[in-house]
Amino acid sequence: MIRKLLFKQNLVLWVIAVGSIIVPFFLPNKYFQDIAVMTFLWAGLATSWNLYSGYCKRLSIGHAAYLGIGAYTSSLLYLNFGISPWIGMLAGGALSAVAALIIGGTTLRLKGTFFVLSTIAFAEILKVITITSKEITAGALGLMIPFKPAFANMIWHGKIPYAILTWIYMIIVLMISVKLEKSRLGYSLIALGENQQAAENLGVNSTKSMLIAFIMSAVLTSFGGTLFAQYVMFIEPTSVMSLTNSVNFILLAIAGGLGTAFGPMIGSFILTPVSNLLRGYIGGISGLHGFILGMVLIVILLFKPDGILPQLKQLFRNLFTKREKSGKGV
Amino acid sequence: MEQILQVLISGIFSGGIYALASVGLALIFGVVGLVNFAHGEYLMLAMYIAYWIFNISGLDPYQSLLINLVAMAVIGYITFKVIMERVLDSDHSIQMLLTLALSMVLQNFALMCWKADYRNIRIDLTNDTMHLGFLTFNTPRVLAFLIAISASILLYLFLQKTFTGAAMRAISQNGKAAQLMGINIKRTYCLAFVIGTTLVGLAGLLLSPIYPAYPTVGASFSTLAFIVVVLGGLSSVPGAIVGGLLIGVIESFAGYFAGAAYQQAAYFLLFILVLIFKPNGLFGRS
Amino acid sequence: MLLKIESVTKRFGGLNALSDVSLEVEQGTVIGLIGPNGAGKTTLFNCINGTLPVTEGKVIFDGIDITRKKSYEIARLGIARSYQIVQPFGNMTTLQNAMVGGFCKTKVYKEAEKIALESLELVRLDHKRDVVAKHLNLGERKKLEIAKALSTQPKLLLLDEVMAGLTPTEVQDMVRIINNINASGVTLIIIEHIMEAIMSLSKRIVVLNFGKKIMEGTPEEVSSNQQVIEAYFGVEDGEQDA
Repeated sequence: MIRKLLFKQNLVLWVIAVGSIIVPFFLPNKYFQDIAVMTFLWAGLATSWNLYSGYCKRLSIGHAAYLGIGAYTSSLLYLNFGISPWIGMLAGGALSAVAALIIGGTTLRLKGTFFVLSTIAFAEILKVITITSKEITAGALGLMIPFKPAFANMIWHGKIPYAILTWIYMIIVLMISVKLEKSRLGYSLIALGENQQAAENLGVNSTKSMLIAFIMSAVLTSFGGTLFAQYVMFIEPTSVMSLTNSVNFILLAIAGGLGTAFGPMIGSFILTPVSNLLRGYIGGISGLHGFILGMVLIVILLFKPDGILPQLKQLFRNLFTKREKSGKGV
Repeated sequence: MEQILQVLISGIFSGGIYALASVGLALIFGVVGLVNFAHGEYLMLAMYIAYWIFNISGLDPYQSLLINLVAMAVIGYITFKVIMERVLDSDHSIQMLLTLALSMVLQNFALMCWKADYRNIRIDLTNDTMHLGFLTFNTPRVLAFLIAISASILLYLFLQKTFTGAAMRAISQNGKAAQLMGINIKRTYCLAFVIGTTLVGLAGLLLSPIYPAYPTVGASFSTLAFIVVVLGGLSSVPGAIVGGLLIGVIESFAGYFAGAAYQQAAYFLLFILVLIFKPNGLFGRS
Repeated sequence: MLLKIESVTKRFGGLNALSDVSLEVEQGTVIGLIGPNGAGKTTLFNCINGTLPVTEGKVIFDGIDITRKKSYEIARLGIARSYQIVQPFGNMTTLQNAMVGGFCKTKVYKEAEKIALESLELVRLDHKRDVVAKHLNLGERKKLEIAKALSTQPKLLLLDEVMAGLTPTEVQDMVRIINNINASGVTLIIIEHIMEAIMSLSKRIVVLNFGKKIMEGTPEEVSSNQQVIEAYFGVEDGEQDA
């Protein structure tokens, strides 16, 4: 009976995920459509982050690095060689895979605390390298992508096409996440996140599992980075590879539910619009926005570290079990 | 040759401040087991406190030292009681995230209250120089170094020679055993945390005659403190002192030979190398 | 010979947790491992399944030298174990816990699920399959521990004090389960302090004390052996060492 409940639960979540595509079409103007684009994009990004960090509970606080690799690779290839961002996206993914392989290979076996610190260090180093390699990356001045709408350029008029693109990105990453949860790799990750030694005793090769998941996470985040660059059309190191971005991945995933396929999406659906609208209203007072976000994260961590998805699931269970015949037991 | 010596000693002087900024972190990590990403923010707060006291009452940072330290101790105490105490048993990742969020809150708080402008304290001493032989140094820097090193050594002596200090070392080695021996863990944690944040506040205060206060000034020191502490061995106070001096010197030479932009890259690189090859640092235990 | 432990020594600093222990385990048998606390029993398990590296000596399983192999490799070769202090994957359901083991020999979800269910049925925990593991009581957790290990389809199962803390009824249940496991072809080495249980289950008993093997024999031989009795109960005043 619980199986059917879980199935229905996932069904509802899928309906929300798939149905959300219609939202942008009903939004009144570009301001709100922009929020929709960012909501879908960050849902995809947070889900990508969650693929590794959420399931095996080793938080990477430096994922903005892969965002940056994706954004910069596709942009540089486009600006310097005219290569379509669609291809550039794949190139960025390849580069991220290599980076994740090297970084992961060396740091994944470190104890939790050290691993987290190393992820931050890597992101910072990447940022510094990007700023100092001025000849290639234009450093702190940033890169501007000229507005030449065409499908091949991944540039369109208006926001709706971008909303569709980022929605597709989110759906793809969600599908990967759901598939992962029902796979050997997923089970290995969750088990080693709970108790690494016990997992290894059951045949889980934790190093290999973590590395694969880490690379997947990096590559998918990198794809999102390309989408990001093509949408905002201007990227520079301190805003793309920032700690704020890295924290945002985590904030959204934790708020919705760490280590669940749909958690990060829910987190983004709630927090991204709220955060953007907030910025709109109180943007005048510098610092207030960040202050509130920080407070929100603190409150979540102190009082609801499992995110709100468990709450929602409980609500769901209550709704459905009341209608079921009694006596079956839950 | 003179230049090299100047660079070296300048690095040592910076290193002294870094050491002071980091010993608190090592203490907090060692005793409380807490990874505190908001560490640098206390430095920032202390700098603002020094600035406002100076602006309002004319007292320079050295004169307002006591008031500042008391203020920092109070702030540290409140932080511990309201936030840190609740997550003492949580996963380190949660602690890191929480303290990261706290640093966001504090930075933005400063931004809201005092804007992003650089706040400088200009006193007579600020541009004063003193001569050691053929070398010239900025007086406040020398003062900062002397006070910083003294404070760090005082902390070390406190840990080695007093009962409370021994209690802290005991907890840092084996929390459960220490508890069984009747040491009041909660109170000791609190004390360690307060001492840690007060010390980094002192570092901020010492910097205020020569360095501007701005909302994100603490962030770079947080990162730095982490690197120092990992280098010296996560929970080792003497390790943090040596690590701080080492980083100061490396940074100084990197700046001299490769330019300011690469200073940061230099110690981040060192950081990753240490993490990979000697994660327990130079002095640490596993 | 399924398992051969050849002169294994395990040193921690200056302390010899195990000294020159040798043992041969035949396919299909049940070996009971007993000895006072601190004798080195769990350490021996740790050395067999790769949790701890061996200081000296060799462990040969099914003809393969597994002395330097990692835990997960050894698990895949066919040795599984349960822990004294049970630690299920608390946030996963009972079935999911067992499935982690199920995935040891297969990549296919459905197969892993089937194997896991069979293991749960063997330990009679299948009715709790969807319960989140941290909500299980001690007896159920102990059974889950066994089910997880069984799901890896091992040739050799190491059970470490699975009956500690159980009620007499639960102990009897466990004895039944262990017999069934052995009947299905799995070789067992069991560490246990509950003497009746281990004497009835084991074909042979091995006794460790202070890291050394002091005796090996049938349950009858062992329970009447002077050295063994002394190891457990000490030497009485006035008596000399045998």
